[in-house]
Order: sequence, then C-alpha cells, then structure tokens
Amino acid sequence: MSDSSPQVAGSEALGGTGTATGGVPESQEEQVRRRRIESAGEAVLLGLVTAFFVYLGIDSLGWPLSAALIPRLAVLVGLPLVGYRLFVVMRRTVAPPTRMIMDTGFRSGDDPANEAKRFFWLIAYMALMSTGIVLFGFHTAVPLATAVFMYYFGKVGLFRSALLFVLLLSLVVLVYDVFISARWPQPLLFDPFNALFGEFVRSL
Amino acid sequence: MGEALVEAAGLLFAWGPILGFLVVLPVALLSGLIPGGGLPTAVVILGFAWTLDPLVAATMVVFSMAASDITEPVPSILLGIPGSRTAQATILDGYPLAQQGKAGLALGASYTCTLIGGLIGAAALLIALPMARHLLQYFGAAEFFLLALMGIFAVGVVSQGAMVKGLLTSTFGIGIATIGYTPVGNVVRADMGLTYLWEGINLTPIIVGLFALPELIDLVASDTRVSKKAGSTLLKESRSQVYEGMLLAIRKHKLLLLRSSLIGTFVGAMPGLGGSAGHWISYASAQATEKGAKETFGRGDIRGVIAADSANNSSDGGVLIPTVIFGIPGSPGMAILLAILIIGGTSPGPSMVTDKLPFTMALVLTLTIANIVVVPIMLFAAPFVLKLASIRPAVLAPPAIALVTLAAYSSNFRTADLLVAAGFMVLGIFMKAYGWPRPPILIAIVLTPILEQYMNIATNAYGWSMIQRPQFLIILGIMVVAFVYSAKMQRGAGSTQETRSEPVDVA
Repeated sequence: MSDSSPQVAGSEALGGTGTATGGVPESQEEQVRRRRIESAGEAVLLGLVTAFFVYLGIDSLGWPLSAALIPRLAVLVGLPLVGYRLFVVMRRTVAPPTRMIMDTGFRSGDDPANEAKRFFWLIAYMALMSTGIVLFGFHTAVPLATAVFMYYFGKVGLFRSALLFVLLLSLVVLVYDVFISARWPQPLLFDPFNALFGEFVRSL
Repeated sequence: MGEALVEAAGLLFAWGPILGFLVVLPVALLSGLIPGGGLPTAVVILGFAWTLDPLVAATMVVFSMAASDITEPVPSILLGIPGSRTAQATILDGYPLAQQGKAGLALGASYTCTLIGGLIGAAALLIALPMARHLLQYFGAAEFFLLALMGIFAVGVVSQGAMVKGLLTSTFGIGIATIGYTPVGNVVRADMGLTYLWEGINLTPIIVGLFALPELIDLVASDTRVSKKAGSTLLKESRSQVYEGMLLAIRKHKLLLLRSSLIGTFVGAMPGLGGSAGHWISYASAQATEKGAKETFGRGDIRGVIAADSANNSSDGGVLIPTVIFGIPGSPGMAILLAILIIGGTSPGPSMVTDKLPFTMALVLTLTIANIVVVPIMLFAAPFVLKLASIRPAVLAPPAIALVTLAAYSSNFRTADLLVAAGFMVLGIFMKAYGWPRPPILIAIVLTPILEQYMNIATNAYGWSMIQRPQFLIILGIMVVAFVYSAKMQRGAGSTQETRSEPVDVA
C-alpha cells in the first residue's frame, strides 16, 4: 500500500467513523473474551442447524423414497460437517481470519459503543414497525414508524419526516393498492387508514 | 440468431422495459456509490416479480446489476472504501493513485475498462448461445441434475478458508428448500405441524432476512459514508485527468484490458465463482505477468485498476451464461434472476436458446445498453450522483427497510412471511458476524426444486444406468477438475488478497 497513510485522507473524506476492516488493536484479555463469545454464538447456531437436520432425518422416515432421497442426502452430508465444525469451534484458541469469496463480515470501527447503539436503534425501529403492522396495519405502521425513526434518530427535521410519511403512504396506496391490488391482513386493534380513506382508495 | 436479435430489440424497446430501466437507473447508480454495499434493488424487484412481465423483471435486475458494477469502483478509488465486494481489488491501486493526486486517471481508466469489459462480457454471452444450443442437444435430465448439483455445491467448495462452512450452508439450504408439499411422492415434508409450511418457505422473505436486512443494519451501525465536500472536491479536481485515463487504458494497455476482460468473463461463467472472484484472479494474473508489476502493484499502478475493473464488469456477461443456459446461478444476484425467471414461468435450460432465444438476447442487449448509458452519465454527472451517496445511512436505510418489508409481504400476502424474514434476519446477522457465507443457502434454495425435478425424471427414464452415460461422466469429470482448479486459483488469489489488503482505518 502507499506510504502515505489512508487514515488521514480517509478521516477527512468520511463523515462517519466506519472502518473498512479492523480497528483499534485488542488486548489479550479482550481477544480471549471475544473468542469465547464468538464460539458460544457459533455453537448455538450449529445446535439449531443440528436440530433441524435431525428433525428432517427423522421426519423423512415416513416419506416415500422419491421424496426422501434429497433431504436424507442433505442430512447425511450435513450432520458430519456440523460435527466437524463443532469440534473446530470448541478446540480453537484464536478466532481465525475469515476469508469469503462472496460475502463480507460486519465492518467494525473504533467506536463500538456507538455502533452498538445504532444497531439497537435500528432493531427497535424494525420491532416498532412490525408491532405497528400487526396492531394497526401496513398503511399506518410503515410510513409512521419510518417517519418517527427518521425524526428522532435520523434527525431530519419535522418537515422532511412528514414528507417521507406522505411519500411512503403514497407508495403503498398507488403501487400496492391500486397497481397490484394487494391483500392486507386484518389488524389486531383497528386500521385507522382504512377507516378514514378506505372508500376513497377502493374507488381508485 | 439475427432474427432473434431483432425480435429481442423489439421486445426491449417497449414501454415496459424502458420504464423499468428509468425506475432502476437512479437507484442502481446510487447503490453502487454507497460505500460497503448497495441498496437491495433486486430484492424489491423480486417482491414485484409475480406482477411484472418476466422480461421486464429480468431486464430490470440485469440492468441494475450492470449499472451498479460501473459505479462501484468510484468510492474504492476516491475514498479507499469498496462500493461492494466486487470492487475491493480496485482499492489496492486506485486509492493510492487518488492519494497521489491522480484520481482522475484512475476513474477514467475505470470507466473505460468497465465499458469495454462489459461489452466483451455481453459479446461472450452472444457467442456462447449458438454453441450452447448444439451442446444442449446431448444433455438430458441426468446431466441437468448433475449441473444443478454442481451449482449448489460449487460456491461452498470454492469458499477459500470457509469450505466446510460453505458446504454446510449449501446442505442447510437444501434442507430448507425441501420443506412443504412436493408432487414427487405427494407428501408434505418437514412442516413441523404448521399449515403455513405446507407451501414451503417463500424465497423473498428469506432473501430479505438473510441479505437485505443485515446489510442495511451494517450500513447504519458502521455509519460509513461519503463526505459530500471531500467527494465533490476530489471529483472536480480529477475531471481533467479523466480523459487522459481513458486514453491510457485504450492505447497503452489495451492488451491487458482485453485479457482481463476475458478472464472476468471466463471466471464469471464458472459455476459458483460468480463475479466476486474474477477481479481478484485478474489482478493476481496481471501482477504475475505484467513487467515490473510485482514491485509497483499496490502503490498506484494504473494497470492494477485496469486489471480489476475490466474483469469486474465483464463477469456480468460471464455469470449469465451458466444462469440462463444451465440454470446454475453464480452469485446471489443471479440466484434472484433465476428465481424471477421461474416465477415468470421461464425455466432456464434448452428453451432459453431455442424458442425463448429472443428473451435471452434481450438480456444480452440489456447488458450492452447499461454499459453504454451509465458510463457517459458517470462522466458528466458523477459529482451530482456522489452528493446523493453522501446522504447519511441513518436517512437512507429506513425507507429501504420499509420497502423490503413490503416486498417480503407482497410476494405472497402472508403476515407469517414477516416472521420468516425476521428469523432469517437473525440467522443472517449471525452468519455475517461469524464469517459464514450466506450465498450458498440462497443458491441451494433456488436450485433444489430443479435438482429434485431432474433427479426424478432421470431415475424414471434411465434408472441408475444414467451414470454410464458418456455425457454424464464427462460432466462429472469436468466438475471434479473445475472444483480442484477453482480451489487452487482461489488460493492464489487469496494469498494476493491477504498480502496486499491491509486494514484500512478510516477513523
């Protein structure tokens, strides 16, 4: 790489604090702790995959051979691979570098606290939107949750949040209601949009 | 072929595809410029696939893929942050050039290489079609079964440093794909007592959860973005050098450009590798063969940019060859294209080079059009487009999340699909965090129904004597050789990646 460090130029160019790969070097203790957390997480993932394969294998005993062949082959190949992977995970002392052809890991920076905060804010937004969809329907929940998130987290201001609300609502109505005649589920509480504008939309 | 080409042009220059291109173009341009990954355009198109004409949906996906490939090197060169995984090799020499005040040279060379590479990839696809037509006469269900198997496991095998993970995710994907009712044996499989699973798990929520949402989460959490001022300043200063860079690529390094384009096309056509390996392999090849490259590559050698970006865009034509002709997608984008074709009732295979040849030709023309249209746009409008890319991820991502949520629901109008998307999002986050490749799952899910279909036809038609068919044995032999060769080439490219690619700390 060029001798002139990308750090300075990068910091001038970027408004955020993202790092393409790596960040502040970790202490030995932090590395061990991270390795343990990663191993535990991966073991949970492998456990779920094992449970799925076992279920698939047992359930396939009741199917005709023509329907059972491919699933059983998947189980026969998959279970030993899971076993091998569990063995590697439990044995390793250092988190190995990962190189993948077609996928990338999460970009880590030197501000993990704020990264975690942004991560949970986004999860909260998705949870809020999903809950809203179940309780009040898509027309209300999707534009409103997005606009509220943009106002509080995105800090875009009231006017732009309201504009986004209108744009998203218009998209849902024009594209999904009018163009593709979407079928919407009945909300658990009530559907404010349908109550107010349902007749108008149906007339379009 | 000539008539098919004319008919394809007639199909393409109709209101449907043209409107589709106009809708997709700004999104694709923006998507390629956002550091670290783009907007899930193909996923949203997949959500609408059942309502759109198959040609419109397929050409929109191909157009967005080709357009974003052209813009992806821009953040790599200007800011040292890849626009996507397929633009990582560009950083090695593109960013040092920008630091030396030669960003324009790199950009000009990049635009030229992506244009010519893309056209060569499209031409390769055009040449492959009549050859495929002759070849496919000898292929039966047994051979297509083998090709589908190769497609499923190829990605896993060539995931260097993650082969076991790749194979495991492929088999997991096969398991997921078998859930639900199958006409083979007339049985509902692995429904876990849930009526919802009788129809199987819908593909769109899986893609939304596994790919789109984790990428958007990464975008917001890392908050990596382009600085409006710095990006625009760099572009303005580099404008005069752009034309110099273009001429440099065409005149002085035309053989390298041509060779790299052919490497990208060839690698792209190899099942499982897709486009993300082509630029590394091309870069490694140029480093090994160009005069003095071992000392200068990685320090601002324009040949490094040419080698990477030519292969990056030419692979678009390459990956379409196995996808369209053999039904083997080489990348997640191609898996989505394949899913769109299947939803639209267009099965990949022999029909794509016989009665559906105009459809296939339309895809070739789409690639060509994308390259011809986007490069001039970037030449003149890059500063404006880059301003859009400087929008904060916290502002860009939520509307994108809203759109993919709607896409996940609208593919089948079942609320439970949102739960599926959420479940796969958790899985996708785990996999992304712990270095498990996600594309093998998607490719396995798309290909498993095809695999089973051909397996059953083959066993009914030939029984186990199918393994004595010469075509079967030849393909099996090619599979083994291709896997071994791919793995070796990946190791070579991987060692280049490891030695040259140092962490870029941009704090």
